[in-house]
Amino acid sequence: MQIDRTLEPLRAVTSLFYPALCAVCHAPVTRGDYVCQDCLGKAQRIVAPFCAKCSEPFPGAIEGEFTCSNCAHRSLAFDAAVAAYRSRGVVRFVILQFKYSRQLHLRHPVAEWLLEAMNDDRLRDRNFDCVVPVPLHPARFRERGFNQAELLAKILGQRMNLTLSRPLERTRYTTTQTAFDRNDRMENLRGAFRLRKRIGVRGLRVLLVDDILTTGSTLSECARVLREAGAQSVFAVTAARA
Amino acid sequence: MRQPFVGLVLAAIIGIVVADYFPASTVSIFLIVIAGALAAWRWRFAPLVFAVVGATFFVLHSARITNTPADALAQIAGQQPRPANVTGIVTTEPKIEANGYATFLLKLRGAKIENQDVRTDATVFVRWRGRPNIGDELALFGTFQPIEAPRNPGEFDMRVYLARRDVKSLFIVRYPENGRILAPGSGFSVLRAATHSREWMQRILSRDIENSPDVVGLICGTALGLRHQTRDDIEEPFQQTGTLHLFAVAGLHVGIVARLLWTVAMVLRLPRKTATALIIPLLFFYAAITGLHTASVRAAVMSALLLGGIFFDRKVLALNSLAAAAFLILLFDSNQLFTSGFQLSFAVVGTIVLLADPMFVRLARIVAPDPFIPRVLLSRVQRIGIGVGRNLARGVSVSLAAWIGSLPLIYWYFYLVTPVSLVANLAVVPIAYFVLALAMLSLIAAPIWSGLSIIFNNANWLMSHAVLGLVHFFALLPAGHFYLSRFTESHTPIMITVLDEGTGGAAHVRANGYDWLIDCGGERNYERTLKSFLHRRGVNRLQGILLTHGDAHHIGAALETIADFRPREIYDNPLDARSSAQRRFRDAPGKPEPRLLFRGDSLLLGRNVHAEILYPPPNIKIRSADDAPLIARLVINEQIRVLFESDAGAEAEVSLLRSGDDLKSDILIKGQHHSGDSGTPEFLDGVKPRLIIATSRESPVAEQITEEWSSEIERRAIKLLRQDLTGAVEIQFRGEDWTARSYLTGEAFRSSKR
Repeated sequence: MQIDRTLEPLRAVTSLFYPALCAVCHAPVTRGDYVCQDCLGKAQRIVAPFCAKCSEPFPGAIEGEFTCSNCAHRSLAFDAAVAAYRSRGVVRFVILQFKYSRQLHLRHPVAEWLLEAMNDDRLRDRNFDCVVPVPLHPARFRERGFNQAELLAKILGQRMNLTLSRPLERTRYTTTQTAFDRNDRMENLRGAFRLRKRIGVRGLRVLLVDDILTTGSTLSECARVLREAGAQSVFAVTAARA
Repeated sequence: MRQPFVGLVLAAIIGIVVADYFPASTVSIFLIVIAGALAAWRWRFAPLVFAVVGATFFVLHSARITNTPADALAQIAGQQPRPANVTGIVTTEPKIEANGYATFLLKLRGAKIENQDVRTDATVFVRWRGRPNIGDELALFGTFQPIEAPRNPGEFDMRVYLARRDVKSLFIVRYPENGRILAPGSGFSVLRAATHSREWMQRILSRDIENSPDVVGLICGTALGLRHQTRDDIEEPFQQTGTLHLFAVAGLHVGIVARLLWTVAMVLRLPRKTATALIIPLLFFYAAITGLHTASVRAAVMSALLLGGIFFDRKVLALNSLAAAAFLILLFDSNQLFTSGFQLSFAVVGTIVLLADPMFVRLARIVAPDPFIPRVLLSRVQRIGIGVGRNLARGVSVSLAAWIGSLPLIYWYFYLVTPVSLVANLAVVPIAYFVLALAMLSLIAAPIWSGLSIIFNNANWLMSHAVLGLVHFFALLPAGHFYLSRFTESHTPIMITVLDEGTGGAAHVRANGYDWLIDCGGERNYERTLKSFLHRRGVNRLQGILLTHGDAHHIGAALETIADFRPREIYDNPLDARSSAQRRFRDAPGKPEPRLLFRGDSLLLGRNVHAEILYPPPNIKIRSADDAPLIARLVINEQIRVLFESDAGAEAEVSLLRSGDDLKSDILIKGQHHSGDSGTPEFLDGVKPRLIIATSRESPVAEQITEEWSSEIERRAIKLLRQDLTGAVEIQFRGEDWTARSYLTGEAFRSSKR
């Protein structure tokens, strides 16, 4: 507390150089915030009913737990993929800024959304042994300079008191997934990941982390590799879902 | 506040500007500022904060410009040259002039003026034919002199420039042996380390390409900002194409270096924060190596703030960082606000920050593909095309923004408009990036394997040649750049400017849209005086030039003038004066052949402006050039007569009188015959001028106006403007009236015909 007070003038000076502004609307925000309350309020939350497997929300009144037709038709390797928000509007804008415009500080608000997903019924009371980020291909890493999933996993690990583990590596430089449909995506990704040597996941309860879930293909492929290596369970969490 | 420093720096600028006009640093103002600061701290009222910042800078700047050490010294040293012994430390990189003098700033430790000890820590501007280094302690014997104001329009105002650095006295050491280095660079300082490493780098970068001084100049200028060693004529095409910023180590350089360092750090897989902590001090060291110019300090501060964003996990606002850099620089030295370097640097970066992105968005739309076609459907060629287009759009928008930012300032300070700079920058900047990168590679390779470093140097030689070739090409493009006089200066369509060239002469005649020169002064003064003057007048091309006689102080700069201003007509004196200046001019190859003028010839200079040649007649024998100069009389608006006597002496005057011509003229413009014998009473009887503009210099004694002569002029009720007192004289003609005005004193003489 005492230190806090002596640091106060220094913080005031710092905020002159780096004023705290909302990443979306540029309105002033309190120090430590990155998106203002108004903009945060516009984020679209995923509310029930949604698919128990992939969190895809559905309109209408469906009672109880169900699995969507998409998930039923294919074998997704994770136990469940959880997201708290839809990747629309504010959420999508912030995540894209973070990922593609090198606004690394935006990992904090994105991580907050990720942490909200951890409050979901499917994850809340569950115990995990480690957090695993979805890996980036080395070439892509060089190009981008960072792995957004890893930055998020690091924060998550610190907050949840979980160890960060990087058992996966990406061996194939896949072209961007945007132009593919569901089946193509699956096909495109097969064999894109593999387990790194000397890191075992046998018998572990794994929490897989990524920024956005679109069809779940990437997460499923990662989960498949982890399962084959003997992981006991694989749950996936993302900040947003398409 | 969204961009707090923008407001703060505006408040600071207002405070500084007000202080510059009305300086006041009293205790009461100081106390009010402190009270305001406390109130602002207590209530956090934003307008009050700005007021306090403005007032603080007001007090700061007032204190900085009133009763300074330089003022005190100038007071003691007085207006006349006074001999003195001084000791002090060299504070700037000595610049070596063509005549062997080193010029630098010296912070005094003590001075003894005419055996009287003076306590002072003022800084003075020193000229000495020694070879000191920055940081050296010197003991010198020489004379204190006040710094002179410019004597001709367009001349660089050294007095104002140095006053902004609180330097108000000149100290001239006549002989090399009158100075000695007491201690070379006392103690360790970052600056000295920077100088040392720069010397080392310079050696490395010029290895194996020493025989191409242009290239070495460009590489060292680009990489190390060693501008004091590049010749002006290398820089000029860069200025004319708006690419001089390559030489002035600036944002671009610091930015490129920061980027290269960042790439190295990422390749080495350094954590981002570690990389930041390493790169920021390196950038400041680079700024120090390159001489701590405003632009490089600005860029270093901005890069540091950019990288600092990683530490504080906040978005970096470019405009705010720019304003913060300005704020810090002004806090350190408020006088910077008035320097062209500061203004240019911040104006250019400011417009880039504000305009480049919106312009890019518009331009990118043009090259963008149809948004309804998915990317995967585009062919490889199309995708490459889009990539190139986007990069081009990015380059164009930055270049355009920078040009918009620099345009008004370049025009104001250099009378120069450079449309070509848009294209020139697009072509040259990418190559300059490689020049800088190759220079860095050469430096990195040097300690490991000097052969590799030499290979890089030779590659750089090629790159630099490409840059030089492109820049010269762009500088030659018609309408690529042009000079334009300031819009604040209104001139009549017919005017004459008699420049002050010491004992020499040069006069500019503007005749309804046509620019003429009568003589062009000495070679040594050309860049500083005649060229700057013509640029200031917005002269891009001369209609013609008259060379009156073979005196080095009158026609010494003829070749340079012809090369730069390409006169359509060149007229020469027909006589062979056997002078070296004339021979140099006549023997020079490749210049247009001049036409010779004799008595009786007549020229039309422009509408309503004629020149009649009164002298020399054909078949006349002379002993020296002064005996038979071209004497021309201008007839303006058919009524006003202006006689250009040049350096004619009594002999020529007698000959003119005998010719029987009506010599009557309103204005007589005369030099001094080397014998001192000119402007004889008989001649004055014949000419009956109302105004005489005459050169006068203390040495040689014969070329100074004597008491006797000037009282004779006074007795005849003729107005005399002697150029040792007036500097240049401008005469503007309006109908039958004319007004002559002294440049130095502002004194005006009107014809006011009744």
